[in-house]
Amino acid sequence: MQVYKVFMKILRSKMGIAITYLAIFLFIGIYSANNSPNQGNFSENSAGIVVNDLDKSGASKALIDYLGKTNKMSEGAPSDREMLDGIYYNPSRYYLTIKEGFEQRLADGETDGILAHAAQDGSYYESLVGSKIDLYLTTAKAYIAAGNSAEDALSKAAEALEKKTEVNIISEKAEGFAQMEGYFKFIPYIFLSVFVFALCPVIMAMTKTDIKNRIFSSSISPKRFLLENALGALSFMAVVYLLVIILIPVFAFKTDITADMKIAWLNCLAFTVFCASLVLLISNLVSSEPLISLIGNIISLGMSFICGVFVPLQYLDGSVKTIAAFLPAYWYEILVSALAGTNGQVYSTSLAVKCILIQFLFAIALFAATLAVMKAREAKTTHNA
Amino acid sequence: MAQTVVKIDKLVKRYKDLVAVDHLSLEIFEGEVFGLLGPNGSGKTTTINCLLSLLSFDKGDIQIFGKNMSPTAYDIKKDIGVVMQNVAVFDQLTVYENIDYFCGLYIKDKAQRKKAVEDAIAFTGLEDFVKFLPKKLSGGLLRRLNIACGIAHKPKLIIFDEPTVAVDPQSRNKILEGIIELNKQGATIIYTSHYMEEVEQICTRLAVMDKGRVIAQGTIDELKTNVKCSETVTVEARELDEQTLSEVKALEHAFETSYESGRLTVKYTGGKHNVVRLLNTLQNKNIHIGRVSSEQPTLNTVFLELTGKELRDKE
Ligand SMILES: Nc1ncnc2c1ncn2[C@@H]1O[C@H](COP(=O)(O)OP(=O)(O)O)[C@@H](O)[C@H]1O
Ligand SMILES: [Mg+2]
Repeated sequence: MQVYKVFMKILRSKMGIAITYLAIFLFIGIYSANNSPNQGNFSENSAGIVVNDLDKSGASKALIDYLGKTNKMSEGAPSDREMLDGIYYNPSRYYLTIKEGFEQRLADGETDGILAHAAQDGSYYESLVGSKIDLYLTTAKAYIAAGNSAEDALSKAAEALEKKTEVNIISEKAEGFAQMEGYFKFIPYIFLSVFVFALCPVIMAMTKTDIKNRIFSSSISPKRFLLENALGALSFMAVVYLLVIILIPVFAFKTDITADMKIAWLNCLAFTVFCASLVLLISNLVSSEPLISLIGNIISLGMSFICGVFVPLQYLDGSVKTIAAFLPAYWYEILVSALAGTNGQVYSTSLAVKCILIQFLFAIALFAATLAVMKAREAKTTHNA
Repeated sequence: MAQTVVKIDKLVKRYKDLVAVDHLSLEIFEGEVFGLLGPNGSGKTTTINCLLSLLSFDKGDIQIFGKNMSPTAYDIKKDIGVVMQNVAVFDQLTVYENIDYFCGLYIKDKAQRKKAVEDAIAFTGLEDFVKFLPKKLSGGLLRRLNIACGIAHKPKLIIFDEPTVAVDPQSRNKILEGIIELNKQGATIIYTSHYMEEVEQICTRLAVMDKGRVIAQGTIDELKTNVKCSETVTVEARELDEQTLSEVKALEHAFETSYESGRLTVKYTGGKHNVVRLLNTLQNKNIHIGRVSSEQPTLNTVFLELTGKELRDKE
């Protein structure tokens, strides 16, 4: 384990920078995790609803009041054209038409076709408001069945539902993970920085041509040399992963280990594997330490900016997002948002699988590129068979 | 006859169109200090890298300790010590840690290794610098560290590739003495250099290389007796006329005469009293004589005759 030992020794000389980055990150991560949850979520979960009330009954009034508790309400009777423009420019706009006979038909236990709406198709806000209304009407129907008038049933339903927290109604997903979103969002930046800045110089030092020649004239096999180096890099990554992804959330934030948290861990694991590939590629391509800092900064800052690490995804321009889709951090952030129920992302298992798989594919692609670089190099100075 | 340690047979190594090593054959015996002498770019390092299987080569056979050398011949490699031309140490490790690392590639046992590392430190005189990082070492000390890293595991065959480049004379002498000491302790040495004085000083046998070829091989005496020029006499004398010059040219054993800016140089193929005869000739003509010198052939003479070029210490 001579090679491994020295790998760790040289790595120790890079600990200062690694710890600095981690400390800054933890400060920012903990700060944003502690400050975002309620306020942040409230605004994310509120839509701007424009109501066209054609029924003008007690029941329609009750529905509008209920929605008004968590959304910005306004009245109006926009044309189709106006509605289209409205939702085009504002994804959180929701146009609700309460049809004539709403109260009457609800009293008859009918819920289909008594409302109409326009919103961005399949958007987060469409499902947010839609599910809220559905839940509300279904609950009210139960009260009507129990003999209440439509108006009474609606106000009782509102009361009953109010007891549940807002977060619960909107998305079951948000509960365990939402408070950690701010923390997990920053992981790509911190992992890219820490791994590139700490590991690349070490790998470079270990495999500098002169040193490598010297080592390969000794009785150690190249395979063993590679293995011990890989072990060195992996143990560092494992420690950082354990500390940042598991120990701090569980012990410092006291988060529950929910199914969502486990998905988030998996998401981070995929990103870590990508980082490992990237580190390998950079240390094979770059030969000077100052250049590593430069390239490390370009990659970590650049990828973080366009993939929504610093700026929430929803504020990013469409073309930026198109570019970002070719970067793994984007898919990492999509899954984080979906788990937290923010940025217009709705969680599904297939989305999680997709996001994680894409990150692994990036890792494999970079690894293949590294092998190609190594092969090309070796063609110049090969061992004889 | 002593055992053969290294046998290289018709080694050819090309870099694209450049033939860096051209049908090179060598045999090195146990207990020798074998010199590989040649100017920069003559293929010494390439030869060493092929010998160590660090480079693939186009043709040829290499045997070390009577076995075929290959990249996976770890049983051979474990008995070889290498001191590379470029200092190969870790900037982040101290002197002690560096020696321990390279020694540890060969010696696993901790106690045994500790002893070996300490021996190497004492041998290279690095005791006062064990905690230093390489950056803090002077050129000479750095070379000594490079050597300590190469020899700590007490190898049977040690290869030094230009270990004294960019080293002050004092460190250089210490390094050369050290190499002789290692040889006395039983190691076979291969020593490459473009400094002929060093090779003359320590090598028992040598090969002279130029453009990838071995152009002469043997002991230093053998090489010198084989050269045509056995003595070169230089005289400072002003205003020699044609008549005098042709008389000098006609002297016995003289085979080459040149006269340039007041310096007369005459080369001889043998004979005993060349200086006296030359001075007599000049005095008879009442020519005023300045400084006089007579040089025995050096390796430079050997190189000059074989290649038509000087092998001078140029960096
Ligand atoms: N990796 C390489 N690629 C191409 N040419 C090389 C390479 N290494 C050495 N050479 C060339 O091979 C010749 C021999 O070089 P080298 O063995 O380093 O000479 P020496 O050690 O005697 O100074 C030189 O002309 C050098 O330019
Ligand atoms: Mg060389």
